[in-house]
Amino acid sequence: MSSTLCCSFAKNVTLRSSDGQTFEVEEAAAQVSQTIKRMIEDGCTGSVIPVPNLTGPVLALVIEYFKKHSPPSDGCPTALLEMEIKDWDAKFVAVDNDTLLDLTLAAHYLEIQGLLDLTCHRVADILNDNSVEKIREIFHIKNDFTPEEEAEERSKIQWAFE
Amino acid sequence: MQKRWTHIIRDLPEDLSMEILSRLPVKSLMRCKCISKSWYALITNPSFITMHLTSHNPNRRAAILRRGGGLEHLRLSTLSNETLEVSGNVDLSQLFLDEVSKVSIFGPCNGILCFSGTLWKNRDGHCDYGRLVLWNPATRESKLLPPFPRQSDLYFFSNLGFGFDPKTNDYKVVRIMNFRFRHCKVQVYHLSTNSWRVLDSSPNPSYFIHLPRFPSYLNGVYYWWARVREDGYMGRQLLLSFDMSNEVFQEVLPPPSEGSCSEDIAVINDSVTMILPCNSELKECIEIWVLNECGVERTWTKILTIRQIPVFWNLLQLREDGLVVLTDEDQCLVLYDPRTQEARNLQIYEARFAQLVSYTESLVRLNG
Repeated sequence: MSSTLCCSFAKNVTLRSSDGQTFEVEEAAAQVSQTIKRMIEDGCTGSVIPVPNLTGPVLALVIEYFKKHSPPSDGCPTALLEMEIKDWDAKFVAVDNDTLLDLTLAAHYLEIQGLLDLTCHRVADILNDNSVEKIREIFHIKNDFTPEEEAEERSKIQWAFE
Repeated sequence: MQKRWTHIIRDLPEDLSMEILSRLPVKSLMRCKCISKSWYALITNPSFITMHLTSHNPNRRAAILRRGGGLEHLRLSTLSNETLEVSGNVDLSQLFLDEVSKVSIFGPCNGILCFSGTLWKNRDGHCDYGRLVLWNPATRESKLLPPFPRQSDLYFFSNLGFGFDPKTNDYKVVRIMNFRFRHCKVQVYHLSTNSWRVLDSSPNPSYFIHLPRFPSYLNGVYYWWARVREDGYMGRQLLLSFDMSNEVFQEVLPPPSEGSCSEDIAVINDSVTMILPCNSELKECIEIWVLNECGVERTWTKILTIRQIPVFWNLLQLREDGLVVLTDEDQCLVLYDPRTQEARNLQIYEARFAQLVSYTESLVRLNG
C-alpha cells in the first residue's frame, strides 16, 4: 500500500480535449473520473489520454473539479472540509445553462458520480423553478403542440399551474 | 431502449434526461408535460413512471387526514408530511360521484390510496351500498371501481386489502366476505381489466379479521390482524397475509405476547410492526414490535415502548422519524416524541376515529 502511495505521489497525466488542448493533472486527481481511472489502469499513462467528448473550456472546468475532489493525502476528510467542498460545489454549478449541460454530459461520459449528481440536481432545480415558457427558452425546446392541444392539456391540470 | 424521446434536454442522452426528470416532484412534472410532445410522451411513459416511483426523494412525502368516520361530518384534508399543517381540503363526493359516509382508507401503495365508502342510494337510508375509489392525490386522478358483484346471501361482514402485484404490474383490491363464520368468499379487483373476479382460495372462516386502521401493505403483500373464533369465543390471534401476485392467504405468526384485544398492525419504514397496548398506573403505554424475516423464519423484536400516554389518548400514526401522532381526550391531534415524552398540539381538531396516512407522491395512472 505504501509503495503505491509513494509512486503515485505527484505523478501527472496529460489529458487532451476534442479541440486538441492539453492539460496536465495529478494522476490521483484525474482518477475521480472512473473512465480515466480505467484508462490509467489499462496503461494509458505513458501517452496523452484523449477525452474526445469534451472541448477545452469544459475539460478545464472538469479538471478544476478533479483538483477539489481528489482524495486528501492525509486520509479522512474532516467535517469542515466537507462543508467547504459543499459550498464550493454549489458555486461551481452556478454557471450559464449551456455550460451546465456541458458539465452534465462531461460527468456522464467520464463517470464522475459526484459531479453528475450535482449537475442533475441543478438542472432539476431549474426545471422545478421555472414556467413552461421559460424552460422552453432556457433549453431551446421547440413547442410542437398546436395552441388548441396545449390549451386542452393545460385545462386538464389547471391546478398544477397555481 | 428505443429513441422515442430524443432531445428532451438539448443533446443529453435519453437515460440522462430521464434521470434528471425523475428527481422532480409530481406537480412540476404535470406542468412539464406541456413543454412539448416528446416531454409529454416521456412523462406519461410507464417505464419513466416506474423510474420516478423508485427514485428516492424525501420531498415527495405528503399526508392525508380523514376526519369523521361514521355518521359525523366527513372531511378529507391534505397535509404537509413534514409540518403536518393542513394544505387543502378534498371533496369526497367528487371522488365517489355521490354523497358518501363511513369512509376508510386502505393503502398507500405506490402513491395510490383506496377509499371505501357507503353511498346512500335513497335518502331514507334503506338502500346503502359500498363503493370503492382509487385515488392518486398527487396527480388528482381518481377511479370509481365497478360495484361489487351481487350476493344472494346478505348476512356477511367484509374486509378489504389493496396493493400492487409486481409480477403482472397490476393494482388489486381483495375483498373478503365472511358469512356468519361458516364460509368465506373472496373477490379480487384487477385495475388492468377493471373487473372483479371470484377467487378459489379464502381464509379460514373462523377468522375475525380486523379492519386495518394503519397502512398495511408492503412489497406485494397485504397484512391484517385477526382473531380466531373458537366455540363462540374470540381466541388466539394471528397475523394474516395476502400475496398480491399468487393470490394466496397465509397465516403468518402469532403476536409476541397475548395481551388485550386492541392489538393492531402497521407498516412503517418498510417493516410490518405490531402495536401492543398495555396499561400501567393509569397511564397507557404502547409497545411496538417489528416483524423480522430471515429466510423462512419469522420473529418479533420489540423496538420501542411509547410510555406515559394519558388515558383516552389514541394512536393515530407511527411516523418514519420515530415520532407518533395521537388524538387527545378533546379529539385534537398531538405530535408526541416517545424518547423525550414531549407533546405538541397540532391545532387540528375533531379527529375522533380519524385516519392519518403518509404516502409518497407518484405519477401512477389509474385510467389507461
